[in-house]
Amino acid sequence: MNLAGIDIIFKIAAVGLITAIINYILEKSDKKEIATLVTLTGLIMVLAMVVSMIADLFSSLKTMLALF
Amino acid sequence: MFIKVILLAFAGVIASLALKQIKPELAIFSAMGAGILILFAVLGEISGVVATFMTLTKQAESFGGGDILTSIVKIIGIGYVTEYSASVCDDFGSSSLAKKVQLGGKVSIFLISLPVVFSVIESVAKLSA
Repeated sequence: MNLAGIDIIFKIAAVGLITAIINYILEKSDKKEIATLVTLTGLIMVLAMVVSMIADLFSSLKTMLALF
Repeated sequence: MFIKVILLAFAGVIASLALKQIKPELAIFSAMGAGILILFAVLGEISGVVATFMTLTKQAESFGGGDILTSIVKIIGIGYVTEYSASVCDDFGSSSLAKKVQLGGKVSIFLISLPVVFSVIESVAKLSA
């Protein structure tokens, strides 16, 4: 995970935007249940990204500050 | 380094604003991501300071300052993490949880600083006796 970059934030924003667009299309073609599934997958992807970043943060804290 | 922190903050704010109308929960995640990246940028600097402190205490090992420094570094780390998670809880809207996290941080800092206080008192007692 490129820690220094801003691209992670824009990746999260991109995932949000794409899921919103797909939701809009699916709702217009009255497929409501698939829309909710797409929202769920987008949320889970972003969650996985953020959790992995938190894991990296805590591991570097442990090594640098001898915290735990 | 500070410029990077400002850039990351702006990027996080823009992303969370863009996502707020469409998907409010993703806005909070983008804010969290930006916070984590800023912490990484700052952590690099803090580790430099800690390294120089370590070398200092190596020379000053004679009067037994080593363990005090490790507790100081631990307190820095704890303050660091509790402040971040408290602000994330605030972002998510539950300020009561944020206060609980801060309480936990204070208690753990107090527990860590206890031996240091005892060692100071002992040294004072030794001097006076």
